[in-house]
Amino acid sequence: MIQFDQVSKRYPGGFDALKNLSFSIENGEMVFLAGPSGAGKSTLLKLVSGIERATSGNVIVNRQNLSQLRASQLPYVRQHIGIVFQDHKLLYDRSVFDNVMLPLDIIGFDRRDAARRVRAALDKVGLLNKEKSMPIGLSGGEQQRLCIARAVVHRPSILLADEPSANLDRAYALDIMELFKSFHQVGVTVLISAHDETLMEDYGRRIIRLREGQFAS
Amino acid sequence: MKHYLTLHWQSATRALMHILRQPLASLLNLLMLSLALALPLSLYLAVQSIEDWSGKLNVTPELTIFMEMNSEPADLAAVESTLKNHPKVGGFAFIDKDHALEALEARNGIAGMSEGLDGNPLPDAFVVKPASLQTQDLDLLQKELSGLPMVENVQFDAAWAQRLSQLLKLGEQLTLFLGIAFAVALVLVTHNTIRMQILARRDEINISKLIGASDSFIRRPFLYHALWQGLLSALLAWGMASYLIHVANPVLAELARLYNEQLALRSLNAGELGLLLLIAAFLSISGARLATDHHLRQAQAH
Repeated sequence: MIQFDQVSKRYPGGFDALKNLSFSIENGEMVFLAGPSGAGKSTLLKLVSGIERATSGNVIVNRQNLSQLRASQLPYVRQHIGIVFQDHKLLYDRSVFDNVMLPLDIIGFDRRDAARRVRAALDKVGLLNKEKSMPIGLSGGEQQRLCIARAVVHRPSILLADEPSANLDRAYALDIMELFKSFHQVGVTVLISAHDETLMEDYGRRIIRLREGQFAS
Repeated sequence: MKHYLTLHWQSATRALMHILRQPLASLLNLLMLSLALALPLSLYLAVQSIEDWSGKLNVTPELTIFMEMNSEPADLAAVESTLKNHPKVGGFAFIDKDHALEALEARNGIAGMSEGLDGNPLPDAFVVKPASLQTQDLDLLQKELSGLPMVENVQFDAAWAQRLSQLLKLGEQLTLFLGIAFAVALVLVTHNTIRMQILARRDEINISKLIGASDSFIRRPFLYHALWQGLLSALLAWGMASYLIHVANPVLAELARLYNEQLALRSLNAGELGLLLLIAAFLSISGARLATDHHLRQAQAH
């Protein structure tokens, strides 16, 4: 479960990215986060994953209050979350296989089981035949799917995706959405941000709309 | 626990592979580190070997008091009683001039030498064992004894031994100084190489942190890299010092033979080698720890 309780985030320099936001997302729910660029979608996702900390208010993820957690404990919270980054954040000097292996290495997974898991995740996103390729040789959509494979390989309870369909054509974007839906169907809490609402409306899921750091009405 | 050990084993083997994958760069690095270790190590071995050798020599310093030729038995008695009561005298022996002549003839196989001389040319003498071996005490004692009536001369037999022991002390201090200086150098060099590696792998570190890597996970490969680097360079330094000894020993042996002595530099014993490995490992891990902590603190600030 993700719960925001009067959360504000002010960046150094005085920019208020989020203003007094309260909401909650139940376990296993699939929620869209909509709003124009600069509305605070990325900041919200960063607060859930503990990459940024709230200036005030409480962010509670999996029954842990991130606002009160020591910095040294944050990595362990993040190990239960899968993140699909807007800019992919892939390791370009490592193979597709090794990129997906990284989260399992971090958790300290047994190597043999890990290889099985990596292949299962690559199979899921349709990249199994590219496991030896380097990410630079992949198309934009394939890089996005590689990022998704890395985000789910350690079977997180929460999956966050920041603009996963940006820069993709509509057919490809729909593919990606179907992928997220399949994770949602096996019980993962999924939170997806996008500035293009047309994709979300087809799914009939809850949409949190943000504008200038507040709920847009 | 097993899981924890597996993680460390993985990091250790991967760090070693990382070193082996870049043989030239690694070798240059190791050479630099091992030279820094080999210098104080060789000096240590040289000082230790010479100390061992000088310890085996009979270098208890002795003072010899030569009396004037015309000294009377009363003068001898006076000197003897002074020596008996002097706190700085550990013991003494009187050498009668007639005995001294006999001993000289016997030693040099020149029996009958005295027959060609007008009387005994040798003076009466006392051989004094000082209670204290401190240089100042010896000098003072020598001065005091020279001032006694009818004493011609006081000779200090082991002055060279005294000088040698002073030189060895200097050598020890130099070893210590060099040891400390190169230990600091080792930490700094490791710090620098690890810092370069961190910079080269910055993306990997940042991404790992984003997807849940703890600080210790980030640090571990670098610490193991430094550990291997330290151990390998210590072994290399040991090899260098052993080679130096191997080359120097025949020369030294030849030199020592001219003085009828046996002198050879020794190599490290097992305990010392263990200590060397331990120190090198500790120093390089410290350097790596400094570099990683610095980077992690900076990353935290962002």
